[in-house]
Amino acid sequence: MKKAPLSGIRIIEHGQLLAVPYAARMLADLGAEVVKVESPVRLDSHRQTTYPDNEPGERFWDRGGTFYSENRGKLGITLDLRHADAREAFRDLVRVSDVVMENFTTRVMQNFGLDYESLRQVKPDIIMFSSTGYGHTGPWANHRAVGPTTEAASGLTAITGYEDGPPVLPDIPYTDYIAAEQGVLAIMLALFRRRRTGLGCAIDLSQIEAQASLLGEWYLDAGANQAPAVPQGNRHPLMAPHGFFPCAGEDRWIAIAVSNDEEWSSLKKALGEPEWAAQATFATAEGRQKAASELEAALADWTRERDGFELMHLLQSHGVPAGVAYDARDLVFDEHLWERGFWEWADHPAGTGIDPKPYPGAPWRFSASERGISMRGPALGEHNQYVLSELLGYSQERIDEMASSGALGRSPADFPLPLPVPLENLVRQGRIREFDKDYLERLNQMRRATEPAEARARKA
Amino acid sequence: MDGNGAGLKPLDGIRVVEIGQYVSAPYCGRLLADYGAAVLKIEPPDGDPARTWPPFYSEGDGPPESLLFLYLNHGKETVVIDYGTPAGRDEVLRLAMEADVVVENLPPGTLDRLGLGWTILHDANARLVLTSITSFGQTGPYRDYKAWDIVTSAVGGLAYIHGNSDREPLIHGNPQEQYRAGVVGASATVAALLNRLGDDEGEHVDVSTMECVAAALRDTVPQYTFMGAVRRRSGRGGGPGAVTPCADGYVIPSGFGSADWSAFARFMGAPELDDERFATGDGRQRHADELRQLLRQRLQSWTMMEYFEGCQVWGMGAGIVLTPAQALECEQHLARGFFDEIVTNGGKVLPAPRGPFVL
Repeated sequence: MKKAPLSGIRIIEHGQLLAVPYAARMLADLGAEVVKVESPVRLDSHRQTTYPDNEPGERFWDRGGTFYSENRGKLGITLDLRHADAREAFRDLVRVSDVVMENFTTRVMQNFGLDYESLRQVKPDIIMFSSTGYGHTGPWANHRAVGPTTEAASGLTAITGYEDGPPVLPDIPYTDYIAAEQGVLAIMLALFRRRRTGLGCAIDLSQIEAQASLLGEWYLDAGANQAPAVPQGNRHPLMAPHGFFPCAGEDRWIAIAVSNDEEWSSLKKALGEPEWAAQATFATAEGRQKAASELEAALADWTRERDGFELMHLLQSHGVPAGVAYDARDLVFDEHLWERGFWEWADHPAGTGIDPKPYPGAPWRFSASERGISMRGPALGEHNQYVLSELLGYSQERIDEMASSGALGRSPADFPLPLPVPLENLVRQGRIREFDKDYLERLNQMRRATEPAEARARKA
Repeated sequence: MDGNGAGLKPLDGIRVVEIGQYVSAPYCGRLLADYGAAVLKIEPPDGDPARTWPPFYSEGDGPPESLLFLYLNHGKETVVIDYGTPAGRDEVLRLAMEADVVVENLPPGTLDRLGLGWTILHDANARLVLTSITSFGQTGPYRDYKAWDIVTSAVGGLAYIHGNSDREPLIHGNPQEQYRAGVVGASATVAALLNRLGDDEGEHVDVSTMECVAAALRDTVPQYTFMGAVRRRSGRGGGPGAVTPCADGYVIPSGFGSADWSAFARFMGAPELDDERFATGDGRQRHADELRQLLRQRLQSWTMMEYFEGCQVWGMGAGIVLTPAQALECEQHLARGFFDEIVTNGGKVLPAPRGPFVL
């Protein structure tokens, strides 16, 4: 094996929520040392949700599951950038770093004197990545945005939703992830160019542009044909059947997509050649497309009483593209993902009382380079001492001074204790289907089966 | 952009051979071309099947051209090689020997059967990076399973949290997950190129679309691993952030966080909203249904842009649902020069998104 692609690269991540933290998480998985700079005044919202068994506990800010998911692999420090010596520490950190990443509104870093023009004075070849809803220039430069609003303005929402219904947004801020993935590419390219030229750069990523780039054919269609953009449902212009079909159990579904006559014959064979499927109308792609509703209703009658996973394996064994609409539990216990090493166990800071959990890894494997989750996510301010003392060489006196002046922030213990998430509301709104009473036991079983014995021995 | 690059594109001088079909590998190839690589796309005699995928455009009586193919393959050179024949296979191998990168998305095992597998390519050209993008990856019990975009959205866990809870799961309106696998594939390719600078040795990169989706589900997985909760879709119907009709389209009434609530109610001309039950985030969550009803009524007389710009003045990040046609006219995109020109074979000049960022 060779070292990870970004080993030796240090990245400062001053991000919140997803668009930048997810990008930095992917870069950490590629071997970069990521220092997450957190504001102790405005806690990352992901520190304030998804507590173990919904109990915030005393140090709630160190118990948020979503935070650890998006921030594993990173060191964490706190800086209250309203303090001059905190800003000085940020600049000193830039001096020994390769990349700065931030996703605040355009004016924030400028107001702190930490924009690209200022930072390249202290580190000429710094790469500064800024991710905003609409970009740093143009009439919307200072407009506020969140994941759903960037998805909406990109053009994606207009074409997404049930047929004949209004547009529908997914329950996660999808475009934040797309912007993060495009951001990773931008930073990788900038690092590659820097290796070849010695030049840094500023990257001004507009999240609506990042998302619109994944809609090219719709933009061309709008320009060429003035094509109306309406929700497409689950239909595909060339495939029928193409949709989700009910399976046994509460709210279980399987996706089935048939693109040609060969897949259609295979599907009929898997179904046991029922009479309804033999009719001439369905023999051609055109016929299946025209009679899609009828065909799909008949298919749904067949899937309805059957187990989704059995169906998936049956149909795939016949060469028919099909897949269960996985829920979180399906994902966490999926044999395929475990065998590929997608899930990785990561621990939590001492004193949180949280056992190691499986975390999703990165979507790539390298035949020669190392990759993977290098460390668990940080407690709030866990690495203040390490970063200030070891990386920046500050004296203990100076560090103590920063602590007492508030430059490193106060303890969030002064914050009002957050309420547990109103789970009953989420169940009532349909956002949570059920609770597994034995989920910890099931995770433990999986851990015994999968966590390398060596790692367990080391921990003991 | 100031201070950037001195005219050098990051991948200038990098040679890429793409054996791509449909969306994922072709978009990966397109991104690499956007940022400087010379991309040669190899098509079989029948062509990339995306050439037959809608939407289409015909110039006069000319043949229909696929706009999907046009967008994904902009900026590449193409060559037809029947790589199923011995001569074709040798031709591909010769091209791979001179390349830095081969990008492909054929079903796993196909290159091996063609005599173009990783071991052969690596032996022929030790510097070569081979990037394979597939639905389930190169290993594991499902590696030979077949998928279209709806299937990867399903097995990746996104479809289950997309849509309304009283209806079936939902997918996005175009092949999003294939596109994003192309983006992720491009990043992984550059990672391998970066790591080649040390030892001059390439490697095989295996990208799984299912994993691209499953890695990016925010609290869906931790809600299970921390609480045992099995999340499902709500259509955002219950809270703020739902798509809401207005006079000329749809808006997203969200981002109330830091706003002065009374001032917002005055701005909306809606005294009924100036109620302390709605004044805090907690209260808005608790009285979400009622708030949503009241906003719906008021928004009937607001245009998208009036509401969007007005909210921004008050420091609220409301949203608007733009169609691609509306986005083509959007002042923000025009000010940033977001649209490039793509010319059809028939000579029609069309606006299209440029690369996703400027380097």
